Formats: sequence, C-alpha cells, structure tokens
Amino acid sequence: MPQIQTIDTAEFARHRPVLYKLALLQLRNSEEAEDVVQETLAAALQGAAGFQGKSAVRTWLVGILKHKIIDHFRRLRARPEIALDGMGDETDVGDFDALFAADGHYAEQPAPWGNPDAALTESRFQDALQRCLDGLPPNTARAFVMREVMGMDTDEICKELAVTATNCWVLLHRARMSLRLCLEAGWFAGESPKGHAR
Amino acid sequence: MRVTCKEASHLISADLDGRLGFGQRLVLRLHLLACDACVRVKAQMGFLRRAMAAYVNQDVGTVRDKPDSGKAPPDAG
Repeated sequence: MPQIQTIDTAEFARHRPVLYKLALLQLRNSEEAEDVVQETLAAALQGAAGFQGKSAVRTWLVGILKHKIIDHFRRLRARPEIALDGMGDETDVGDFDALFAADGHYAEQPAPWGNPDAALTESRFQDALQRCLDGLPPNTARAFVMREVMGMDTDEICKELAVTATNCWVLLHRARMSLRLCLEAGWFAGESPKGHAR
Repeated sequence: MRVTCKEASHLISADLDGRLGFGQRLVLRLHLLACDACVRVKAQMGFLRRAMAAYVNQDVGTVRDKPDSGKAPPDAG
C-alpha cells in the first residue's frame, strides 16, 4: 500500500496563526476572520485524505482559505446592507504626488536597502512588515494579499473586489508604494538589518 | 516616449502583475537605464513579493525554544 500522508489536527494548529493573520488582513474583523479560518480547517480536515503532499501543507491550506475568503466577500456583496467598505479615497492616484518633484523625479532618492533578503528570516522584520500591512487601507490590503499571497491575477481580484481594472491596479500600486515607504521608515532606516548593535 | 519616475512607479507595479505590453515594457526599460532611483524602487517592490512569501511561511507561536541561539547570525556583512 502506498503510504498516504495524513494530516492531523495538531498539524493544523501549527498553521492556524498564519491563516488567521491572512484572514484578518482581508476581513478586518476578528470574529469573521476566526470563522473563515474555522471553515478552512474544517474543509481541510474533510479533504485531508485527498492531500498527498504534492504541495506544502501551508500552501494547500492557503489555497482553501482563498476560496473561503472569496465566498465570504460574495456573501457580503449579496447583502448590500452590510457591503464591503467603500473605496473611500483608496483609489485617489494623487496620494504619492508629494514624493515627486515638479520635474517628475523623486524629490528624495529612495534609500538603498542593502541586502534586504537577509531580513526575511528575522522575526523582528516580520513584526515590522505586519505593522506596515496593518496600516494599509482595507481594500488596498485585500488586493495586495490576494495578489501576492493568494496568487490571484488582477482580473480575478477586480472581479472579487468589484472594482474596475484601473482601480485594481491603483490599489496594488498603492500597496507597493506604501509598504516600500513603511518598511523603509520602520525597518531599513532604523533597525539596520546588518548592524545588530545600534 | 519618455516617462517620469512617477509614471515609472506605475509601470513597475503593473509589470509585477504581468500587465505590461511590449511597448510599455520597452518604455520602462529605457527609463530604468537612465534612472537609478527607479531601479531601486523596482528592486524594492520585487522584494515585497519575497517578503510576503516569507510572511506566509513564518512559524507563528511555535517559537518555544530559544530562537537561533546556536546558529551563526545571518551574514553580518
């Protein structure tokens, strides 16, 4: 008999915190995020026999979570009285104007980040990243997590967030510009990833 | 066709989403040849993708034992 890799609930517990973080970034509501994670783990347990270790468990669970979150957004949209947050001014393209001089160049040169990948294994860097993600406006965070974590393409993201293609790109651009500035201020400028003693 | 750094930032982002046509990609490439600031921005936006991959793969709440006490610090440069 070929050995089928089984996953038990203890294994799931290890992944729960990250699933919750991802859900919270997108739903911005701790109860709803908890529910979606619960649904994800329940679905995963049911489908565990089908999991044959072709992908990492984490990746597999994030894939399930993606569907649960999309379902959640669809349910919300079906009930306009509790619709998703409006776009507010998240799609205002003028927000980063202050970064640029009149001639269109950066008013202040973006700082060099050295070898930023060295920071990726540092938990304090993950904390800094978390703070930056938490600071993103809701739809911006949703679009960004859908794109970079859930691996959705922009067409799918526009559809699920019910925004125009242009606004979708504006959200992703906003996320990248904001995170870049936030990490620069919150990590690369202060906590030098090289010198641990400041 | 020339673009400003501001426009280039949009092209860099769209490129990460696989949204640039041939012409736009050329325009961006020409801009990057002449602009160190945007080269940096492009590298940093690209880094965000790897940062999110690491974010997803982090082990949260399982660091019971001393983290990394036995390992060499990551390339202290």
